[in-house]
Amino acid sequence: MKRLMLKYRKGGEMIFLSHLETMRTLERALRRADVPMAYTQGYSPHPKISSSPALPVGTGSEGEYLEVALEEEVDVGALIKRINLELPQGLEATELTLLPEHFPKLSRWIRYALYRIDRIEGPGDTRTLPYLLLPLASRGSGEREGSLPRLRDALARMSDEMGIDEKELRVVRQGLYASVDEVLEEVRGRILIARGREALLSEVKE
Amino acid sequence: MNGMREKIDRFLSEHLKEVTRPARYIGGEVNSRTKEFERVPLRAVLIYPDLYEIGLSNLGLSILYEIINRRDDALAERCYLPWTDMQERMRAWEIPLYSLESRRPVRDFDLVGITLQHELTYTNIIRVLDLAKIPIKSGERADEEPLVIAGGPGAYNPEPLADIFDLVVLGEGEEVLEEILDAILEYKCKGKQGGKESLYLRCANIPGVYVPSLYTPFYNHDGTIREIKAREGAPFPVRKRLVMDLDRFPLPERPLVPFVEAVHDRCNVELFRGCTRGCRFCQAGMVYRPVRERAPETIELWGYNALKNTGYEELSLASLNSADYSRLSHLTAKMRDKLKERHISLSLPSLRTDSFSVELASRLSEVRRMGLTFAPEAGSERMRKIINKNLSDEDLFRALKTAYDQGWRRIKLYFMIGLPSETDQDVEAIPRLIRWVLKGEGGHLRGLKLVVSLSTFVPKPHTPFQWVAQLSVAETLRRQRLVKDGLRVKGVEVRWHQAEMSYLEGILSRGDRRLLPVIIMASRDGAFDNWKECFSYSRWQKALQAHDIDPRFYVERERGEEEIFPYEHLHAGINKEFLLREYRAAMEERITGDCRWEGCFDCGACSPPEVRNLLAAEG
Repeated sequence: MKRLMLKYRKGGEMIFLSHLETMRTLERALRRADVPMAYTQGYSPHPKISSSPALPVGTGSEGEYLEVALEEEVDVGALIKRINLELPQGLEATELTLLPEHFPKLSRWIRYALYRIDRIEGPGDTRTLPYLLLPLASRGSGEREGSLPRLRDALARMSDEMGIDEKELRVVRQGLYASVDEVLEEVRGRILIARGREALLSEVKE
Repeated sequence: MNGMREKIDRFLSEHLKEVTRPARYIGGEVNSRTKEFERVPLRAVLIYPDLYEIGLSNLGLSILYEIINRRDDALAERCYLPWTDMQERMRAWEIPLYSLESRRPVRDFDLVGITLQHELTYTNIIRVLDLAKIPIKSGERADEEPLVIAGGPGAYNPEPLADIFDLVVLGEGEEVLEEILDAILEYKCKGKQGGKESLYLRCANIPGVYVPSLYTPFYNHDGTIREIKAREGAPFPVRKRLVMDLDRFPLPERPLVPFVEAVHDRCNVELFRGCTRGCRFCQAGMVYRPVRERAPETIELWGYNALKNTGYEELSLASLNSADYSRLSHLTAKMRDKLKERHISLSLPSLRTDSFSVELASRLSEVRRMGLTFAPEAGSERMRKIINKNLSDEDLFRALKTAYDQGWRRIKLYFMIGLPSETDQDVEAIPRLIRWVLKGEGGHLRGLKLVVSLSTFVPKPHTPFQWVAQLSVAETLRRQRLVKDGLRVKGVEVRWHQAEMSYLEGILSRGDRRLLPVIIMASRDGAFDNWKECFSYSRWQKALQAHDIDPRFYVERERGEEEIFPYEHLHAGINKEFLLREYRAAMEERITGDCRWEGCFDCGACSPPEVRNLLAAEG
């Protein structure tokens, strides 16, 4: 079955949508844009859509993913324009690709989330802190199943170690990655990685 | 001016993260309309006085939103009541209640439209005005302050809140709203010359507009009403407004698509208005007469457009009794196939308790299974005759059996306790009926789960039961126990309405103007009655005592045939003589037929040739 990969940005006031609300909003936009989605069988069929791991309410993202199974072929160039016309302000499709048949599912390749952290020091005055890298899956990240660090704990530790008020932090998910190497290829700057349930922070080095 | 907008924006960006479901408060939904506030002469804000996800699904308000925004000289924005966590923060940071579209304080609008839905939202209306920093009573508001206008089903007895409103719309708003807007626009353009008083007198002569301040009730020593006097130039009674040709008023083609999941999160089409089945407890069945059906072609076209413009996955054919729509089979057969290929489901929210309805539901459930709900209302056939619900025990069994055979395993049933002349035998008939249908002659309905919803009867204005007494709280609890004790059956789940909530509904339902101070006090004491977690009757007891009002006067007292009701000056289209005849027929356990098929029973709703039942099947 053909699959589409939609990469999108979530910003503005759309950051206040919960994961489910975001999914419903995207699904309806895809329907308005006439995306020929494939549906599940059964009493309550729904489109075969999977998404990257949930974002906390109040957090934006530069790159989230949606994988959509298709009933028929599409022209991605025309389609991404249609989708963007249907998305509410704050949600923006940045890439749309037809996946090669054997391309792994989202849940198979996404292993890390990278967060950009800014500290608001006053009106219109922000300072960028180190990036925060969070393993999302045990496979390939060297983490143990069931003891993955949580964003909340990592942020608490980070503000604690730096002696700042957590309320002053503004967090945006910068991207989702398959490996640390991929992160290093794309991102310049200091990166802290959180490990284990305690979310212990350490420097990521090339 | 923009300072306030910035203040609200900053407040939202700083505090939305702290509240539940923050997307309720941001606006910006697909298909919401934002006009340039400063450039439009007449600005209205439509308020649903309850949570966003409840209010957003209201079809009436979405129709009015569309009608106002279609005009070049007017705009309509929306506002809902925030949940308590947001209310607290708004008060703490001095953020006034604001509209979702342009984030203007509600008090900056010319017109504040509030819908009167359920009685338990009445305290919310006070909360809305308090959060908006608008004086509660119309007499306390200066000419510069917004006009507060009410409409909706509660308008048939708005008396407990009458002193709040400058105007109340009685009946359907499509036409009358435009006339009111014209009047207000003229009043505003002439520099509000003559003050609100001049506007009142002009609007009082628009059919369907009730101006509460032009009417004064006088009371007897026993607390009943002696007389309701109208000022000179004010009509008596005020008659409801009715739209005959619904097809002239298409439904909004671009319904709003909320981010937060709404209670009815789907496209809702209205098939028709009115119902002539004549259930004697039902206010909607009385006040929305006669039946006026939309043409199937209009519904179909509207449905496809709305689905295209929203991306919804479900289209619901809503009405008081959807299965009664005369072209239903024709319409659903046509739409079903077209929608099926797009994976969109059709649903009927209200069904009759018969095999026809179930089979239809089954055919509509090809894409997605819809939930089934039946409303036998009463357990004994005697009681069903009293309420004019012509349904036998066998009918219910056959409907359930058909549903079971078609694959349904979970069905909801609605029952009421406390109907007039109800005895313990009638109450015990509810569990007996349910046990019987589960093990009826057609064999066991194995694995069928029944969800039995038990509500307490509240007598409603403009119905044949407006004269009867409602149960006390203690008696309600006792009868609820009779049902619950009789229904300790596997596969049956019983849900019931909180007795005190129904009692409060009873106070307000046939209440009068003397109740407003009580409502204000309860609201300011924290009442948020529609929500179980926030409801507390003791708050009301305190407020009633403080104003020396005995609630039994409103709830538990049977009214005499000569009694003047608080809403005597408001005419819902149905004659009082008809209601009284129906009340007597009820006490004699006589059924009255449906005038769509059995000739006229002279209820007063029609005035032929124009005003009559209009069925689409007549072509």
